[in-house]
Amino acid sequence: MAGRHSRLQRQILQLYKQFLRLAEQKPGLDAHVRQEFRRWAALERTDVQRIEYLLRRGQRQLGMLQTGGVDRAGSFVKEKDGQPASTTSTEKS
Amino acid sequence: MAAIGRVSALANLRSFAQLHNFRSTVCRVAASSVLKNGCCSAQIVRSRHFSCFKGVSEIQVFRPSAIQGVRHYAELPDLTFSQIEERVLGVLKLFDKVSPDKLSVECHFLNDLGLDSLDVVEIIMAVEDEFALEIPDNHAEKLFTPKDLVEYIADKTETFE
Repeated sequence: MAGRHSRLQRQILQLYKQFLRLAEQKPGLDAHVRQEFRRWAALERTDVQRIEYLLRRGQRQLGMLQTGGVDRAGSFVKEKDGQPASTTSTEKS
Repeated sequence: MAAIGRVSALANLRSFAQLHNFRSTVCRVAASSVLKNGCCSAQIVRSRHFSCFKGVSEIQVFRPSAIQGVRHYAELPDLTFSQIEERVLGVLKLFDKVSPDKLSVECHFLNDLGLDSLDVVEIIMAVEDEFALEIPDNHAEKLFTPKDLVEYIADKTETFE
């Protein structure tokens, strides 16, 4: 049963966990994190380049949130033709 | 009778405080305990809150911890297998994507409950918080049913049936 997930999947799940752990300290962030991961969850497994790009983007954002003075976040959710579009604002302390 | 006793006890305290020209926490604590208990029993009067009224210098020595009591620390009692199972199922019931009627010990997260890997990560995190332990990712990806979780936690906390 070892290695059920691919390397990429493992990295993404790890990133998701790290984001959620970070979001425990920053109110409002978890909604955005969940929404953003769900949004790309249906991406084709073969679309590796795009997944890797999004993974790197996520890692960069995680690093930014960990070091920066962001202490809370707000997000707006707009449902449009079943395709959720989102904008996010982060507040700096 | 009790009411009169209470009022006179309060009046005594106030005049006592005025007499000595200080309003200390001791007086307030004593007065509030009189109000809470409804009467001023001999036990309170003789208690150590009043024994430090001998002089102002002794007020400094007064510690609120003496009133609040002593804090005791102890280890949690050992978990049992059924307790772990109950708590794991409790965590899963709180998870909004799991329908409680489909939930059982044997059900598979992905196949039976219709969850995806992101949801499983959230479940693992909730279980980590519940039992205050860390589940590494390479272990977490082998846990598919509540039963697996229970066995893993029992293994980690050294619980035996």
